[in-house]
Amino acid sequence: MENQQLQKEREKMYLETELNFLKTQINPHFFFNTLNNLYSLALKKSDQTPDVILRLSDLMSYMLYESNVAKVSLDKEVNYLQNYLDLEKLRFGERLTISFEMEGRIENVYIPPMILILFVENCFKHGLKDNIDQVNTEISLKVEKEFLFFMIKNPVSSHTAATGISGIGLKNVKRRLDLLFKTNYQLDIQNNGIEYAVYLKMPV
Amino acid sequence: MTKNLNCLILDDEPLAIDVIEIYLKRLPDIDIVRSSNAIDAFQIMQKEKIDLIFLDIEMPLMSGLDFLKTMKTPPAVVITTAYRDYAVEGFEHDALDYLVKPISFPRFMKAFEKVIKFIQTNSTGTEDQESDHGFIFLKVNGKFVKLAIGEILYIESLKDYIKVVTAGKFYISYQTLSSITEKLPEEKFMRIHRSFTIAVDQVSAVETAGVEIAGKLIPISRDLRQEVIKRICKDGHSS
Repeated sequence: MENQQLQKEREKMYLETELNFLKTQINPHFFFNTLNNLYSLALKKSDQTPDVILRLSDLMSYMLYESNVAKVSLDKEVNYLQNYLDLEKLRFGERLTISFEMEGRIENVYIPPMILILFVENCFKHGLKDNIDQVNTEISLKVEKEFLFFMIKNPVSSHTAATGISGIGLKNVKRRLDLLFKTNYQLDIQNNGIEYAVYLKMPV
Repeated sequence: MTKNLNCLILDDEPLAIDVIEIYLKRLPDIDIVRSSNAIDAFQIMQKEKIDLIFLDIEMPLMSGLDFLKTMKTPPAVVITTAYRDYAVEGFEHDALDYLVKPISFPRFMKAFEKVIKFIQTNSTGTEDQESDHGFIFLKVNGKFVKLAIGEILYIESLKDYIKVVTAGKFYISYQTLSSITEKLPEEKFMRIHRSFTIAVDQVSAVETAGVEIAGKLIPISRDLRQEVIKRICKDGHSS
């Protein structure tokens, strides 16, 4: 009896460790590039400077102190995404346009943290790396009947049509979703060489 | 009559370009061209002569390093990046300096001074008559060693490397004897053998087998013999 209990606890601990390990960390270059842009704004005494510092501070605070839990409220995660998007917009200027649509109520809805961000990062990676033209990114988020529907897409250039789950980040997030929701979620990643799109449905 | 230094800043992030532009504007006699991707930069470089590129590495379609690789005779290049780990590769492509963002003004100036020296040395043979005071930068073990041209006694070719010999030292650098000979002032240096370029005024003795510099006998290739001896004698008369 006691042994079984111990065994269970051990398994749980192991899973938690693995889940923590799999949690995405933002690319460190994002921070240095953002700091460089901030430096640029400060150098020319731009009025934008204080606002950008606050966004960066918000983003770091969330990453370091608030996302170390099993679940966070959706509005916090959305706020985090918003900060990240704004900082990326600052980096890429007019080259990047983002539309972010939300449907349904996001209050009192809880999700595992740092999952959505990975898809956003990945989308940018595909869209901005292989494209010198303007990149329009569309994001939509909907909460409906105990499920969260998340979609992100942007255009990619035709000559890098990588498909499906590639890269360690995506593999990790897939593993996390497997551990958290077993089969009770859907993830669909498409790259047809023109557009990169991610559709995710997960329980809340 | 001085010509302005034409600088190209290549970076996909406009705010990062701004920093370099602000710094350059603090200096006199500089023209600035901005470009956000390698394709545009190619076109700019076809149209006008660029003396110096500030080059970001992570850019869409073509990275800064790949961009460097495409150029046969690149202008002076200073790499600017948020990545800490490309430095070695950057220097392999003959970048003069590697600046990690955010870049402070003093650090920027250090790189800029290197560039100015590089440009001055590279234009010696043609404009600068006082070549004794010129410098040359040699890439030795991933570092750029600054060497006064006047100190060089002779240079020996070692396959893909060269050995540059001064009074007390020698330096091994990865480049060909032809490429360094081209960079050195013609009136002071002469290639006297497939494997040797010498500083003509350093010759202490001439014998059948070759010339002697700092106690070392350096061979002369047979078809150059006459010419070399003539040149050494002439050098002796004029000084």
